[in-house]
Amino acid sequence: MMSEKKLNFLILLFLLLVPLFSMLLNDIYITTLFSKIIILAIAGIGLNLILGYGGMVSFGHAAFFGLGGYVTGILAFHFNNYEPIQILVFEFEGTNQLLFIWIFTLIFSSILALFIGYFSLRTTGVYFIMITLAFAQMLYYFSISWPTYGGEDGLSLSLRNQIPFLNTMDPITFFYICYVWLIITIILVKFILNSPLGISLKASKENEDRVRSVGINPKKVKLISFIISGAITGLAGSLYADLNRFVSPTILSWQMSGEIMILVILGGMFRLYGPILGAFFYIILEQFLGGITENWQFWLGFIILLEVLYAKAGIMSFLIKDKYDEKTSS
Amino acid sequence: MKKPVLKIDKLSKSFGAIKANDNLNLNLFRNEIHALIGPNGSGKSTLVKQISGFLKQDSGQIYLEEIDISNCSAEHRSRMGIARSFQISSVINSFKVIDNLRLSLMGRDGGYLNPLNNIYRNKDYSDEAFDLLNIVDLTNKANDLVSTLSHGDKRKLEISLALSMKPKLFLFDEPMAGLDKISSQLMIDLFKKLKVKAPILLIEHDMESVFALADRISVLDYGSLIASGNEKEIKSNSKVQEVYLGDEN
Ligand SMILES: Nc1ncnc2c1ncn2[C@@H]1O[C@H](COP(=O)(O)OP(=O)(O)OP(=O)(O)O)[C@@H](O)[C@H]1O
Ligand SMILES: [Mg+2]
Repeated sequence: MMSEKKLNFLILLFLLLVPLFSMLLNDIYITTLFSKIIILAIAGIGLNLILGYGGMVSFGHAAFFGLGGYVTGILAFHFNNYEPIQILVFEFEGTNQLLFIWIFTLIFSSILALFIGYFSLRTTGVYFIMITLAFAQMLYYFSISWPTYGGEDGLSLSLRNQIPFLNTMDPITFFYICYVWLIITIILVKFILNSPLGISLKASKENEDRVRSVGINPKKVKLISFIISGAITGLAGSLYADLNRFVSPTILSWQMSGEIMILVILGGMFRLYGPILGAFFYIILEQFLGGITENWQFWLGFIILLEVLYAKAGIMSFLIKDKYDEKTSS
Repeated sequence: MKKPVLKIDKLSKSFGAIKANDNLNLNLFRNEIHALIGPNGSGKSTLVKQISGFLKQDSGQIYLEEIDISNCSAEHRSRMGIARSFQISSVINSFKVIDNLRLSLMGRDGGYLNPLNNIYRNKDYSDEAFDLLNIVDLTNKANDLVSTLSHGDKRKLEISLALSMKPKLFLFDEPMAGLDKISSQLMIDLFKKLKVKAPILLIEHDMESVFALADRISVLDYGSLIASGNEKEIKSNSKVQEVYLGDEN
């Protein structure tokens, strides 16, 4: 039992040292595994901004995760093939430079989030869940039926995309790239949560009428938050594509949306670092239970059931002493 | 002729077969408390919701200082100067008392999309928030979580939130419902002071409070205005006696 601040610090410290453990144990796979954990954590923090803090249950965040992956894959694909992307009269030969790829990813996932959010936010509750799911499914089927980029088989990248002076193929270097993005994401989301937008978002989650009667447009607040959330999750998708050097429609599937949502719930909604612990336990469960039994997801379901019944605030709530309930979030 | 701050022109709203507001005309002048009374379900809250923009009228117009606001959104009307309280207390329970006020101050300023406006550090907001809490006698609870407040204190907070918007008029929907004698009296004294800042359209069931406060009283029944006048006129109106006052006094 400790304070939330201390736990957060320990989580970041532990992650920082992962490559060291990995070298001591002489197993570089650990580093790669933790890169995956961090990437899913980033996606989860993105989702949690609207899920935990905004009360918007998006069951379609794979759309952003997958779009980020495909933007990355497609830009690299054209760069490697020397076949420019043709948009009307313009030609663009693609790029393998991560700094550009990330910018493209952020732009495209923001635009997609604006589009999806604009329509989805006209609904609430179950309808919101269904419509976000429907948008993601549309992209999923589109990716399957578009042969240029591999269709169902997906798209392989021969090398990871690059950053000047860094060797992204080195697992430890790539791990730290992901780590830096995690830190950036945390700082950004923390800043947003304490900014007028974040405060309006939390207020809108509880009581839209009150928010409107003090002159704030809750729809606008939610839409902007949705866009930021989509952009963060899109960036995670981009990193995921580079980690695996592969993208396929799987990252656009509803299972992917479910995975991101489950790790958020597992770790603890309403807590900034919850999705990190969630991603950690999700991947560890997948690795260990997956090694023992084919039906590991059954046991995962069982664990989540227990959590929903006995520890609504997620794994975080077991580890920290300032007992939290949703009522004390401001 | 004095110009009304608020003018309602032939406003109608139906829910299915129920005519909640039927061709209503009403206005609110500077420095007055205009009380709206009537039996349960006569359409009082429906009128407040339409004026504040939470409900769209079927037909008719609403003018704020001669500007037609009939098609403005609720949040826009709030910023334009229409402040309301809700029949059932409506505050942000998960926030501290003072943060509810900070939220409304930043909403009033339109600064809610400015990421650099740190409302926790904004000294002007804090000072103004404490002044507002002082008016409703809540300063000692500034840092309490709203969910821990009593019903009466939530009511007071709601009034201070309305006040924080520096409105052109107040719409209070049964602000004294469920309050004890002392709190009610505090509200009555407060409203007398408030009406100088901005006129009040007051919905209230307790006739003692209505007669203590109102400069003018209008009576609603089945969505229609059946009488309008001062205390004496209303008390002596036979129709009002029949539908409303008769069974209460
Ligand atoms: N959203 C709605 N849908 C359907 N009917 C409604 C709705 N809101 C109000 N009504 C009906 O409209 C009529 C007027 O309701 P309203 O709430 O305005 O009355 P009121 O005068 O405020 O009553 P009270 O004194 O009980 O608060 C009632 O018959 C009510 O049942
Ligand atoms: Mg009412």
